Order: sequence, then C-alpha cells, then structure tokens
Amino acid sequence: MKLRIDGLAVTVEGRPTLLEAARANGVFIPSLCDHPGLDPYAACRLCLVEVKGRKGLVPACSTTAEEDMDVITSTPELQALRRGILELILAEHPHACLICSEKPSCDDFKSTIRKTGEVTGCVLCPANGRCELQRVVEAMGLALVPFPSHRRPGEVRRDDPFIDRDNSLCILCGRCVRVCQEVRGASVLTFVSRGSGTVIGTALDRRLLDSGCQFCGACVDVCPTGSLTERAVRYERPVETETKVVCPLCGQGCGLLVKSREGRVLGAAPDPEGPVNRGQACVRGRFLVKAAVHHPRRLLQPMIRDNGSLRKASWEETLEAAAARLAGYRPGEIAVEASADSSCEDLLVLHRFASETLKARSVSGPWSESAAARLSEAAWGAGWTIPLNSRLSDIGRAGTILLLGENLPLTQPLVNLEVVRALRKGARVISVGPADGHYSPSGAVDLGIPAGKDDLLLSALTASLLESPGTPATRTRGFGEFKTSFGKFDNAKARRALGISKERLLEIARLLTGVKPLMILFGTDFLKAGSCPEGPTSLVNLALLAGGRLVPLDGGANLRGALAIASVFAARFPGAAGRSGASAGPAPRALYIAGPSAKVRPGEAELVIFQGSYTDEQAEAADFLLPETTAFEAAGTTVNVEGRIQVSGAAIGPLGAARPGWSILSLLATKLGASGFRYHSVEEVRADLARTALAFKALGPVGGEPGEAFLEDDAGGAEAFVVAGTDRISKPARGPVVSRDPDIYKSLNLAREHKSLKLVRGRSCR
Amino acid sequence: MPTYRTHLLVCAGTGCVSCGAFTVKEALEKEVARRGLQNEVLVIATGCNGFCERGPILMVHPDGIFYQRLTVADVPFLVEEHLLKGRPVRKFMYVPPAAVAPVPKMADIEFFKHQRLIVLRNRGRIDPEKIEEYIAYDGYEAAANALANMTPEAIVAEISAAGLRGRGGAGFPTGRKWDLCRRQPSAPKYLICNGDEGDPGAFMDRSVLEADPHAVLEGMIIGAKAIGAARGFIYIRDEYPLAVSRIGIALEQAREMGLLGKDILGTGFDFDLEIVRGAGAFVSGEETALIASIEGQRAYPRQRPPYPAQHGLWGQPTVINNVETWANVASIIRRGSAWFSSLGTETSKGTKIFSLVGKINNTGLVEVPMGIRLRDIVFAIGGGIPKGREFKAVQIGGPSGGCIPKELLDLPIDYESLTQAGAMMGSGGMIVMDEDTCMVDIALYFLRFTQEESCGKCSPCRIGTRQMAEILARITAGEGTLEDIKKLETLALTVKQGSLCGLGQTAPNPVLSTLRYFRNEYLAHIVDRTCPARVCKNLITYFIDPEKCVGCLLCLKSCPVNAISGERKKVHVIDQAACIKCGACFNVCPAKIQAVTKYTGERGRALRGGAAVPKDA
Repeated sequence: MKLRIDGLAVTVEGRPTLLEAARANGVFIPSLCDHPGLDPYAACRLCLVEVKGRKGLVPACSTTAEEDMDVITSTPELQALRRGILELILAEHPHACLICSEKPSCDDFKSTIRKTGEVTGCVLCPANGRCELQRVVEAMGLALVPFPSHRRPGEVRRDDPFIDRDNSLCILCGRCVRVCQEVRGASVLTFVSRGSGTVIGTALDRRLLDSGCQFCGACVDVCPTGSLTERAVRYERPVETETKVVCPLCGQGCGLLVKSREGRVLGAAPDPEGPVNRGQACVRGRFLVKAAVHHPRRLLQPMIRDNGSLRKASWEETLEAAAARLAGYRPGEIAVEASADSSCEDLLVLHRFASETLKARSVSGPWSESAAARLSEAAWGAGWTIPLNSRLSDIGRAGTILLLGENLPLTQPLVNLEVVRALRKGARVISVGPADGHYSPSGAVDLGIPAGKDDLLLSALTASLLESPGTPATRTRGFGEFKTSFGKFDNAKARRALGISKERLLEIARLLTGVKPLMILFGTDFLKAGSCPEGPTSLVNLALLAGGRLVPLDGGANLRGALAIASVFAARFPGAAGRSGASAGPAPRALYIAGPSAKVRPGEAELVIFQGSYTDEQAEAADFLLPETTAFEAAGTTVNVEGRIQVSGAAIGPLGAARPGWSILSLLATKLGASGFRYHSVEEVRADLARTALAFKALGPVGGEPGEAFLEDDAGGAEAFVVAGTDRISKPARGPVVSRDPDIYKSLNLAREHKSLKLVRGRSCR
Repeated sequence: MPTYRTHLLVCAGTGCVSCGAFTVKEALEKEVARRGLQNEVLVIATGCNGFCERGPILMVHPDGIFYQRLTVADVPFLVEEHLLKGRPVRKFMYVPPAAVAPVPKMADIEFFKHQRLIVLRNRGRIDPEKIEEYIAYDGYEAAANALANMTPEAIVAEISAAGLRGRGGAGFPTGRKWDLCRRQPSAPKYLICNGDEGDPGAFMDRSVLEADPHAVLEGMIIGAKAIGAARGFIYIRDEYPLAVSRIGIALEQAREMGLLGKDILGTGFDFDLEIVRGAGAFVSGEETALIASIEGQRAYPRQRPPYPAQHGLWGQPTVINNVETWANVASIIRRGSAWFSSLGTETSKGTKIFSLVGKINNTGLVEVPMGIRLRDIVFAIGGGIPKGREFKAVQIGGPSGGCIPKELLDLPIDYESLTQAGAMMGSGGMIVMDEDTCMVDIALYFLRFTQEESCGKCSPCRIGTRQMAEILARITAGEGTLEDIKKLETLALTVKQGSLCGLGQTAPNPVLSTLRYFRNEYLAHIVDRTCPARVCKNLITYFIDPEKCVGCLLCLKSCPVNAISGERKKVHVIDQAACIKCGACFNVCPAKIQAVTKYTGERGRALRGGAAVPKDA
C-alpha cells in the first residue's frame, strides 16, 4: 500500500495504523497511550495528525492507513496543539525537575535519593531514565508548564506483593487497565471515578491480592511512567546488562530479559521479542527470578558427609571422594534420578554418565508420567505416532477449546493468554475442572462435573458424538471396532452419575464438532487426578471423533527435551522396562540425584549423591552435595510444551563454586576413569546432543543461531482409534481420587519460599 | 365502549405531577362521582402538556377550555360551575402577563398559538398508558404500512427525502445513517434509542417518552425494518422513573397487540425492544459511550470512525438515534416526506422541541418549526422576561452550546445558523438569562458541569476543562489577569481540537461564545474588578442605605451569620467583615423600601472599607 507521510512517499505492508506506518518510516509522532499488542485507545491525543480530505484532526494510533492517504504529521498548529496537550498532562504529573535551574547538573552529579516517599520530579522518580513521558517531554523540548499543578491525593499503595502503585505519577493512559483486560483476561485493574477525579484502582479499592490479580506484572511492563513499579527494583541502581534467557520456571519457555549488575541479578522482564510470550510473562518469570538466583538456601559449595556431619570441601576433594564411593558398586546397583528442569545438555551428559560410566539400572524422571508421554503411548497402542508438537498461537486461533482439568492462569499462564485471545475472537471454551468459572461469561461453557468423574464424562461425550449424525471420522482406521466396543456403554446411567441432561450433553457434543479448529487442552493433573485411568486412550478417540487436536500441557522447564533424550537411552538400561522409570526388584543401593530443583527423599539408599542448586533438610541428609548452577548462570538448551527448542544464555556467571551440571558430571566421569567426557564448553555438549538424539536435528550446526527450531515430530502410521477392553470403558473408574495439589507453584522449588509468593500461592486465582 | 360528554385531561407530566397533578386528578374523580357525573365525565391523565410554568393543568375536552394552577380546593367549585352549570370558571383561566382578561381557550393562548406539533402531536390529549388511545390517533398506521408495503430501501429513501436530521445534537442526516447501516453486510444489526438526556434544563426527551411512548416504539419498528434489525434497545436514564415505567407499559401493550415480537402484524418480520437504564453519567449520552454502557463496560467514548452504523453494539452495525428523532419517523412515513420537508428551512427540516427555562415567563416545552426566529420563541411564545427585566442572552444547546446575545435575537433557529453563532442545536435546551446574570459566572457554571461530567479518558478534556474552570474561578474572584483571557482562548482551542468525543469538543463553547459576545464583562472582572451583573460574590458588597432604611428588622432576622446589627426603627448596618454575601437581606428588603443595595467595583470596595454613602447609587 502506498501513502504519503509529510510529503514522503512510503510503502507499507498489511493494514498498519498511521502511527505504525510513520514509525516504520522513521517519522516521529509523540504518543503515550498507544502500545503494541493493545487495541488503539486514542486517549492521550498527542498523536493527532492531519489527513487531507478528512474533517478535523485524527489520532494516528487509531486510524488505519489507506491507499493514497496524504498524512501531515507536523505543522506549527499541530505542534502547538501537542504542546498544549502535553502541558496539560504535565499539570497532573509531578514535574518540578522540568523547571528546576539545577536540572542539567543534577542529572550528571546527583546520585539517586529515590528512597524519598513522595515523587516531585524526575530525579526522585523510580522510572527516571526509562519513563516514556520524560522522553516525549524531551523530544518536544518542553521546559515550562504554564498551569498550576495538581497532585492526585493518596499515598503510594504498598500493601500488595511485588507491585507498588503510585497514582500521583499516573497519566491515565489506560495501558494497565487494557492489558489486564484485553491480554490477560483478568480485568483486575480498572478506572475508578470520573473526570479529573479518575484514578486507576481495583473494584471497591481492594488490594490486588484480594481482587484476583495473577501478579503477571503486565501492568508494570506497559506503564509508561513510574506509577506502577516493581518494588524490588524500585530503588536499585541502573541496570548494567540485559541478557535474553529462556525462563526455566515452568514448561512454556518464555523469553525473559534478565537484568543484572556486577554479577547480581536485579530482576527480569518479559522479552517483547520472545517467540513464545511476545512481551508477556507470569509471576514467576516477572518477579521471582532474583529470588530464585539469590536464594538464601542456594548450594554454593561442594560438601562431604564426614563422620555423620556435612563439611565444606573443594571440588577436587569432593569429586575424588564421590568417585571412590561410586566405584564400589556393581552395574545395576545404582539408580539415577533426573529432573525435567535440567537443560538438554545436562540431561544428555547425565544419561551418558548413567549408562556408560555408572552402568546404572535406570534414569528415572517425571517425564514418564507426563501428559505427552502417556498420550503417545496410548496412540502407540493403535500403531500410530501421534504428533506432540503444537503452536501456542494456534490455540488463540481456535474456534472451540475443550479445557480439561487445568487451572491455566496458574499452571500455564501463556496458554491462558491464548485462550483469552480465542475468547475475544468469539471462540467457545468448554472447561472441566478447576478452570470452571474462569472464563465467564461470554463464550465460556462450564460443565460443573462432580469431582472424580472425568473419565465418565469423556466416555459420555464420546457416546454422544457417536450418536450424533455426521461424525467425520467414520473412515478412520479402527472406527467400526471402536464403535462396537462402545456399544455396551450405558450413556443414560453415565448422565445420571454426571448430573447432566441428555440435551446438555448433545449440545456440548455439537459445540465440539461445531466451529473448527477444535483444541483439546489437558495436563498431567487431569490424568493424575485418579479419576481418569483411561484418560489418554479416551482422549485420542474423542479427538478423532470430534476432529480436534490434542495439546498435552506439562510442567517442567524441559520436559519434552527430557522425554526425547530419555527415549534415546531407554534401551540402554536394564531396569528401564515398564512405563515408570522405577523398576521392580530390590531397592538400589546407591542413588545419584541431579537437577536444579532435585529433591532427596531420606533413607532411600546407603549412598546418596545430590547434585542441585538448593539445599533443604532432606538434601542435607545426602552424602555428597554438589552445587549446580541455576539456568540463569549457565547457558543451556530447553524444549517447551510446544516442542520448541530454545537456547538460553547465561545472565550472570556461576555463583560461588557452583558449576553447570554437564561440567560436574564430566569431571566425575573422568575421575571414574571414563574417557568420553572431555567436554570443554556447553556448545560441545550441544553438538553431541544433535548427533546423539535425532529429535534435535533442528539444532543445526554448532555455533549457528537456531531460528525457529522444533523437535522432530513426524506423525507415523495412520490415525487410528484405540480400542481398549470394552469392559474397562463401560465401567466408571473407581481409582483413588487424589486431591489436586493446590500448590501449583511447587515446580518453582525455592522461589516458592518467597514471602510475597506465599501470599499469592494457594489463593483462588483467576 | 361508553361515551362521555366531557373529557377532563389532567396533565401528568413530571412538572405538573410535582405540583400535585395526581392529587388534583383524584379530587376531580371523587368530585365527579359525588355529583353523579361518572357516566358523563371521564378524567384522564395525559403526558406533558408543555406549559409547565402553569401546572397543574386541566384541559376540558371538547370545550377546549384551559385551566391552570389548580389546587384540590378549587375542584368542587370547578366541577359545579363548569360541569354542572356549564359556566367556565374565569378565575382558574390563564391571564397573559400585562393583561387583565383571561384567555379561556387553549388554542388562543400565545404560548400554544405559535407552536407546530409533530413529535408532540399527542401531548395532552391521550393517556400514554393506553395503546388504544395512541392507535385512535392514527398510531401504528405508519409501521403497518412500512412492514407490509415498503421495502427497506423505500423507507430509507423516504426518511432521506424528508431531510430529517438527528435531534440529539450533531444533526447528522438520519437517512444517511440508516443507509450506511443498511448496507453493512454483517449481521445481526441493532437499533438503539438514546434517551440519556443529560443537559441541565433539557427535558424534551423525557416528555416525549412520558407523553407518547408509542411514537418512539413505532419509529423504531420502522427503523428496524429499514436496516434489518431484530433487536433494539431503549436507553433511558434512571433519573426518569416515570419515563421508564411508561415505556415499559408501552412495550408490554405493543407485544400483546402483536406489534412487537415474532411475526409482527403477520408480516413475518421479527423485532423486539428492551429497556436499558442508565446509571447517571452525562457522557453516556455520547453514542459510543452509550453503546459501551449497554455492553456492560465503563461508559467511555471511543474514537470514530468506525461509526456505530459500521461497528456498534458488540461490534455489529447499529443505528443509534435520539428519542425525538425516533418520534419523528412515524409521522414522516404516514404523511410523506414532502409534507415534512415543507416545514423548516433549506437545510433543517421539520420542527424542533425546545425546553424554555431560566428567566422567562412561560417556562415549558415548545415545538416550533425550524427557522423560527429566536425572538418569537423568547417573546411571543415565552412571554418575555419576568419582572420587567432586560433580556440579556440565551444559552442554546446545553452546557456544550453557546450564549446568543440580544443582538442576534432575529437569528433563525436551524443547525447551521446556531453553529455559526457559536452555539449549537444540541438537544434543544434554551436557558434564558436577564440582566442580572453574569456571563463569566455562567461560563464557569457550564464549564464546571462539563468538567465534572468529563469521563476522564482523554487528556485535553479531562485536564483542560479543569484548568479552564480554575481560570474562570480566578476571574470571578477578581483575581484574573489579562493573560488569563489569552490562556483561556488557547486552552479552549486545545480542548476543542484535541478532545476525543463531542463532550470535550464542545465543552469550551460557553467560554468562547461569552468571550465573543460579552468580552467586556470579562474585562470588567479583570481590569476594574467589577461584576457588572453584581453576581460574583468576591466582587460585590451589600450595603444598607441609612436614608432609606426604616429599621424593620426583616434583614437582620434573615441574616444567617448575624452580620447585621440594629434595632427596631433604627438604621441597620452590615458588618462587611462578617457578611458572606448570600443576598438574603437584599431579597427580603421590601420592594417599596429598597434600602439594601448591591454595589460592585470601586464603590463596593470603598463601602467595604467603611467609606461614606455614595450619593448616586
């Protein structure tokens, strides 16, 4: 599309707003309320421009560029108008520094004295230097405000975790309110009162904590001034470096910009260019990174148990002693426990170490019980390799979403954003379990199924789909057999048990086969809940019947990566038979536990070697404590829920004597006389990974920055219904109902002890 | 149906009701029954008659006799004289100002003589709570015709040809709006009636909703057919409980008669209406804010385009029109566009309702043809200014309008002339001001209103109106500078050009128009620190003329702060330091004495300082 901006002929792609078109072509138009990712709002009125042929002035932020438009962004009149508006905005915003004669020298010589309670000007403001209003004022060269100023009454609100709210610095651009509603779907922040009395607040002026806030920090990130700030960094000195890190605190793999200074993490913010999160994060990535790295229980020194008590030792001494003890066990006597939070590099070396050096009986880890693993197993039963990769953005484009048993705002915040996005576009969301009521009222369908009857619900839905005409999957392999096997199912009885009417069930079935694409989201908790032993099988069949796509959602920063590596090594362990990693037979005599958030259970083996980042009472029962770096101190590769392979950098150097996991394992293996562990850098391990595990082919050549890389995920075999024993399906499951752990931040291991998170945790959270 | 020889039409508009119309009606019914006339005389409560100044009002049909300011005590005499003996009672009739003889017939009263009723055609003659009475006066004939015989295109063409323009303020051609919406491919489409009338002193929408609810319904049914909507909303502010209840009754009756709902009149056309009650924000009258309010959002306006006709309620094409606009539709369809466009001026067709309030003899609601001169409204219909005061200005268009001075009394009232003169049609509020009105004070009053009612979304309106109001407050306090006038003008331009919605874009109008026509008053406040109208408290001084004071104690007793000292038959004195300038003494001092006087400027200041009495007050 061609148009003219200030007489300059420009070409733009798509349907940008005039503001976007101008920015893309290097034309500066001041604006304060506009923000990429939010709907145009047109409230600050600074971006008013002239469009030839249109009456009056139009805001560039909310006017879409059109072919042959002739836009004038700067005339003396427009400049005067913008100045006038900016002067008005500043009349509501502390601007003492603007008129201070000391301003030039103050900027240079005054160190921060920002611990003052009240902000009267830029120097005292927590946003000094990163304030958008400040930038606009400088760009427009404003040095005087000809109006009496008005300070909004009220003190800084400090009664919430993480976030300080100072309405006196607010310019009412509405970004926080909009991001909270449009993007996060939380609608916690809102405008209160009207006219010049308008302020940002919550319903009934409650604390954020009592208003359903997720503490995702999106409002802080979009605030152009110092009105909403992160308390922990409010009075920190300026950031020295910003490093792109893939967040290791859950399985979604958000890109974070970790801010550090002099080897210390100051905080983190979501990376606007993060391929997964595009500028969004959750409470973990936004506020807990510093706490996770600089935690009082960080293990920073190798320790040896000597005469029953632990003592600090050097790496050399510790590794020598550990190697000596390990050498005393025969093959199969040692078991290795791994974590799904370790990087691929660490896990590769761990598996090699376990199979080649220790000749351990098994490497067990949480991946074996994961939703992804159980789903592929179920499909395998019918000779079908089900694709596990997905794109979160596809969920946002879904027409219908079936959400099973996940409390998304807490467990999968980014998936939640996509569900919110889909809802905004008119999708229907049918939710079962803890998400009931989250997405009301528009578009959300809550089933309100009694707890522990999920399996029955899946069967009842399947039966209803089989009854309804026009099922598309009749030609799919195994359909006839499957239908026969389902013949005995007593749907009426199931409906009674579920307390759901026939019409309602048919309506849900109609919704499922209605607007495509259909996305079926489920997590480990749904399968673990005990009520759904046939979960994966039922899900495969349901998805085939309704023509939907299954999206397994797992926790664990690197679960999919761990699963891929484990499957390569599975055959090399004698005890690896069976679904769960723990094998039958006598208990292992020695245990090697590795991973940043690994946990020790007491009294399990005569020798326990613990390699982790944090200690606790259980860990201190181990014989050797080997300090491992957190993901913020060491580069590494992880695979998120989508199957996306991401390489993360290190924000700071290793703290204390901590070392990356691969490095510890390599040294230990070498001490044990192994020769194949001479890795000198993480890149060497990564190259080995690409060679060893075909799934990581997309990692590409060493040193090359991988673009969009995904695990190899080719579907194998034809789609097929999984026919289980008919008796098993028709019988409602009676397995023990495990109560769902309300502490969904348990994967966070140590940051969970953060005093603010304790407040957030366990609260009902929308 | 029984027939009655006489109908007693008691006005039950809000004005008359607040003067006791319902008790008068009850008394009438009782008295009629007591006299055994219940089979001959029917008492009916009608919608607003318009002549609110004279309430409670009773019209005797078919005699056409107009009784006014009735009380319960008047009823027995009235019934006996008029209904039994057939002698109209002269003492309850209307006597024009400066006349002696009463005017018995409504049609002869000046207030009604110059009006031309289209929208208000049923006012004062039907019971708004009975659909049968509406139907009896050709009601729903137009809707039936439109549904059965007209295509949507034909309806839109008829409305366009009539030249009907939006009566809510901006005057956008209704036909064009409908056509734009009709052409949108997206479905469903919605209709909205904007009954969020918020201008101070405006009550025409309220009156239409109360007096003739079915006229609005019928207009909307026709509109629904024209654009293809199946669902509509009537948004009424909750401060209008009578309007809400009457519209509610009307909806029920229309549904019962098959005029709303499925398959209307057997034409296969479905349409239904819901009432949405507004929570009292002025800005909700702005169409995009109103739509947000119906959606359950905060009533914030949004940038247009896209217009509601393209992207309205829940993102769907929506036609939103004002109550008065909807009430015009049925008449246009019934009597034809040619008839309608024969009324009014080149660009403004038909009639317009104005609410005539302020310093005027005949307060009330008037419907006049477009193009009528302002002078005719104020003097011929309105009866001029009370107490023989001088006319000064009239604020047209509510708080967003402007003040029209006496030099422009011959201005024809239409959209363009008003805008040119610095005012606007607005919803049609007319606030008449006399010589005792200070124009700076008036500008401040309206600006405070818009400032308080600004939604706070866009910065020019939110902060600009506040700064302007503060400057005006300084000027009225006698603390203004000449620089302030310049600042006001710059700010006014910033707010006008920069604001997001109509509220902000028009908020500076009162300031700009008073600066344009009454700049001298501003200068008097600033340079001479004088309030020529003697209104601004900081600039006036109350003084008791010792030569005139008879020592009656009236003012002394009325002073709320005991600032007046004196004894019976002795001259009273105001303690200037204690005086709060409430004006109570001024108001109670008997007209034949007039000892209490207001002074302003140098003289006032001198008096406050304890100087001698001026000779030529």
